[in-house]
Amino acid sequence: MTIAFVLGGGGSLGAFSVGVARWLLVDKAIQPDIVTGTSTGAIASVLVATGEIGLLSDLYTNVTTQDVLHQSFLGDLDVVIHGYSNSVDPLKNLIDTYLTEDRRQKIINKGVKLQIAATNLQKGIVEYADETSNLDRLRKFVLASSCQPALMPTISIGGYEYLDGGIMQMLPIQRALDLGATKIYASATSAAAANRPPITRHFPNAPGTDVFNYTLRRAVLLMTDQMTDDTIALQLERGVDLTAFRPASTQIGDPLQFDPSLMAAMVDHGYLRAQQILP
Amino acid sequence: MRALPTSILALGLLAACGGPELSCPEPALPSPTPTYVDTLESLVLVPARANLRDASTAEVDSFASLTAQTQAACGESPPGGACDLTTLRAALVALPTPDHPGVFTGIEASLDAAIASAHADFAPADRDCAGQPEAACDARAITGAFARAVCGVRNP
Repeated sequence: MTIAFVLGGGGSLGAFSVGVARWLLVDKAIQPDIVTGTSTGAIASVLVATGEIGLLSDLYTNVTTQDVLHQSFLGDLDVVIHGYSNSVDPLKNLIDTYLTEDRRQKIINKGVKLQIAATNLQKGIVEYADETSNLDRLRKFVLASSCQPALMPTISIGGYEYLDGGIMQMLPIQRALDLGATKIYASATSAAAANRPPITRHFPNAPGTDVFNYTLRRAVLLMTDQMTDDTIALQLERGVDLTAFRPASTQIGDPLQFDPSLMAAMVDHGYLRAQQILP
Repeated sequence: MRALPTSILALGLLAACGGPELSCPEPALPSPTPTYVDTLESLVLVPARANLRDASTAEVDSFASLTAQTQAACGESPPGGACDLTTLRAALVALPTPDHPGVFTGIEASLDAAIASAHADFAPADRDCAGQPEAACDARAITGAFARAVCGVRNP
């Protein structure tokens, strides 16, 4: 059996998948042969691939928004000025600190196939960096994989611009299958459609409504939730041996706000949810 | 009924009568090169905190008292008798659970997998145990996790 862990996107909500991985790797002692990740799942997949789940859960429960993003007080106006509303310099530093050459070598030595998804904006396809990519390329892919359109900058790699892998592959199950996976454990950060209640916020057309921070983000969330639903449904219909882990209900929290106490609650929920789904 | 070891009775008594204050560690990004104690602490933390979220205030308080006693013992040089894995585990499952009967046995049951994982990652010679016996070193790490779990649940 070739086992794959697939970790989906969702910013800070990715803490849920950290709890899931904690249950699978430690309590169930399931060792993945393949780890694929998109966006926040790309960041997590590096430490899942090395087996450093303690470090991963510590990282996800101590990181703050300032450690990830430099958010402008200008809101929408900053998109006009810079082309994006949040600098990711802090996230780049974080990735450089934890994604080291030693870790890349450790993944190679363990024989785990790592796949980091990012969207090539020129080619219009998802591309993957893996453990054999050089460290600089791997780091850039992890960063690009995490960058949401308009909210964060594009990342230049080899003459192309890249953004969030979640634009096209929110939950890269197919990549794991293409690499020979026969058993998939996939963790998504959104609840299943039936467990997503309506929200109460309105989205009026008026100056100062900060459309990038509210309307665009809501739209992206709806698209990615639907993409996740469709991906899971498609693979189950095809008879793929897939165990999907999703929160019991919509997670409380803004994907771009990194609040350690909220993220600790998400890690714990992921752990208990995985225990419930795969006792 | 089998007699409880003296150290467990002493822990129970101290927990009931008050004792050392629980020390909450300052939140900080983890070291990119975690030690054995860091690793075991982090591995124990998630199931401890997840289970503790269901506990009643009284149950959290008794868990916090036990943790503070063990923390104090592990802080002594050499570590006090209560800084011992077997003692800690026995005291943990002996804590009263008037509201959620499985809460502490659930935490205790999760320890084996966490310890096995940390032991697999660090050979004995690579562990930052400062010459302490394994049972004291592991108790120190687990107590650190318990303290963080209590602090996380009490002060979200």
